[in-house]
Amino acid sequence: MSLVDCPAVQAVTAAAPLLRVEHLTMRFGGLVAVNDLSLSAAAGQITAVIGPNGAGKTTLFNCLTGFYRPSAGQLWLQRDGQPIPLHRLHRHQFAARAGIARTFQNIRLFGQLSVLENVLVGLHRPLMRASLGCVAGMLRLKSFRRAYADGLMTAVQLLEEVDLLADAARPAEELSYGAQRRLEIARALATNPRLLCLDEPAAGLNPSEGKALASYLRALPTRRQLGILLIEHDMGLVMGISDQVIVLDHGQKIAEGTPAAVQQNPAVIKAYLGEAV
Amino acid sequence: MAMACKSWLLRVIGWPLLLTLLASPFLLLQMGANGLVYRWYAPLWLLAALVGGQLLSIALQRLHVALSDTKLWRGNRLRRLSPMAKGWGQRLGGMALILLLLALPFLPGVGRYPIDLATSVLIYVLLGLGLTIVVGWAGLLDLGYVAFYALGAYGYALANQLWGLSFWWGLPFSALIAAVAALLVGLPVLRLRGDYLAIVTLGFAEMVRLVLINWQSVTGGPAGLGGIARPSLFGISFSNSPNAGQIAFHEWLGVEFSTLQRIVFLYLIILLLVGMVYGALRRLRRLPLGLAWEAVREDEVAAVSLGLNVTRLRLAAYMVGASLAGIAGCFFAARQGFISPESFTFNESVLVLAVVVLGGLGSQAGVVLAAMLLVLLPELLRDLADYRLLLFGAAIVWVMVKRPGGLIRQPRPDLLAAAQGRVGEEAS
Repeated sequence: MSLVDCPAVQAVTAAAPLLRVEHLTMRFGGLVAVNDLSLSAAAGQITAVIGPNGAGKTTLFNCLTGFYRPSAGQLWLQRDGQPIPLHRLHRHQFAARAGIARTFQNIRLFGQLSVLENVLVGLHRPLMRASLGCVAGMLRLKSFRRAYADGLMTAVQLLEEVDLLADAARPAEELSYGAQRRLEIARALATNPRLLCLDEPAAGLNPSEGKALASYLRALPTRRQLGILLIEHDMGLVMGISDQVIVLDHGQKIAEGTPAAVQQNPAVIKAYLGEAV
Repeated sequence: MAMACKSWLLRVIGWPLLLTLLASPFLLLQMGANGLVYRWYAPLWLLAALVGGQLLSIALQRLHVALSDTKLWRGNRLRRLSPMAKGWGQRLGGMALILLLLALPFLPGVGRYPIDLATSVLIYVLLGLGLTIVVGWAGLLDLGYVAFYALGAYGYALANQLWGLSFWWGLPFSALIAAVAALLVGLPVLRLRGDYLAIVTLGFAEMVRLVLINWQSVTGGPAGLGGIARPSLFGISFSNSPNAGQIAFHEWLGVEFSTLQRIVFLYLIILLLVGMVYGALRRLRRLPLGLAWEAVREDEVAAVSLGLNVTRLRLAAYMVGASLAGIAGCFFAARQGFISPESFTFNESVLVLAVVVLGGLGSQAGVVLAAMLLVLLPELLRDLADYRLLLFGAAIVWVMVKRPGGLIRQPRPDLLAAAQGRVGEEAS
């Protein structure tokens, strides 16, 4: 056994990837949506998952964020030097225990809550802990008031980052489409994730909004020490900001590498454009 | 501008007018020395007082806004301010309202009937506040809320008869009974999607009612339970012939015995209970728990993705709502001194649900107003009793079409403004 295989050494070296997916299979009845898929994503990087419609991208996401329980395979997330087995967690533990946050392809905000409250829901766990099962909150103890003010500050900063502070008091459903997408990212970041899963964040954005999103996402991993897993159909965005691209087709990985390498890959071209006649 | 003007008019003229109209039947007629006296001017006094109060409250609010620093959030300032500060215009208005309600039974011209009626209204306010947590905040449709009301009432009545439990211990006891029942019902059901809950709660309420009717040896069956102990005040009884070891209120005070004393006492108890619950819910709504409930209502999937334990949150909402119904049931049993299954039919569930829907889902002030309307109007329009349900139906349809948010739609709190003590600004 070489030194590199030793788990303790792996944990301290950057070599241990943030996310490891091993032989993941997801079946729906007779349909195999994801078939024996293995991949990894690194901390501090943007990993894009692309592929034609029905390739299994969203299924992969739903397995990673706890919405589906995989039919087979293992999912590991590296956190504080400890690998966490995602396939054994309960749905609501993915955000808390493993530090995985996600956004949704069809935006899922809390429509009637204000923009600020949406972000505060992301801060639920620390705030709830500070309110001591509501006792400290009901009595408005100083410890809770301080924690609450801290939470508000965090939320305000997150909103400022995505340029939504001016809309803080408006109901989320009143925001424009692009603003709702940004709010969803801010809300996911409020849970202080290690891995942020973005499901088509640029869908429906106009070109200038898309550009702003690209530069925002590009800076995120280093600023917040997290990895980003990105599903996106906008190839301009994917190729522009990703460190690594994984291509899926029919539930299997057909290519992996830097954006430039993937673009030249014959298997990828075949999957997207079909066989040359 | 037009909108602002309209809401201003509503505040200064609309609400006082509505309240005056509701109260005028009690104020117009007074028992004089020689029969009923007709006092046409009495409602006008109330109207003037309410309009004046509203104007004063608005003026204080304006003053408060003008005096406080209204600049936008800046740097670290948030940290030093209390996140839940309230404007003092609001605070004074609240205090005035509390004083008025406390003084109501002692005002000249207020007799037994209005106080009794106000007590009924307050019971429905308490029930409505409890159900608004379940339906309005957590978004769980509960069609059998009356089951917990019944459990609270029978819980206190039986504990009182078996162990001699007093009313004041009966309150937490009934709350506990109802909460445990909610836990047992909710645990298997709340894991499912919301629609199933409506069916199960409907069935549960019927089960409770049928058990109450058929379990003769314990619940007395359709004949019900009687002789339930009335509330006492630190051992002072409000009955003519108190039990051993108790002092009678009228002897203690050295006045003549009157059942009015007990009625006023009951009114003050329920007023206290409702006031405490109202205040507690106001706080709870701003706490992480209240926010999480609303998040689960808005989008369960997104809530899970943020790490919220949806099942546990729903269970908590269901139990808190049920325990308030239990408290209301305990008070109901102690007030009546007699309970039977007839008081806990499906119609009661519908009435409380109507209070919540009409008031605006999740709006506390709306619950109070809707409870007043739904309990007072049938009393006032006794001649139209046959058309009561028709009117209810029409009212709900009207609300659904014209004001889907309910009579009083609770605005989202502006947390940043609140944190800086800038509340009340949205009114201008």
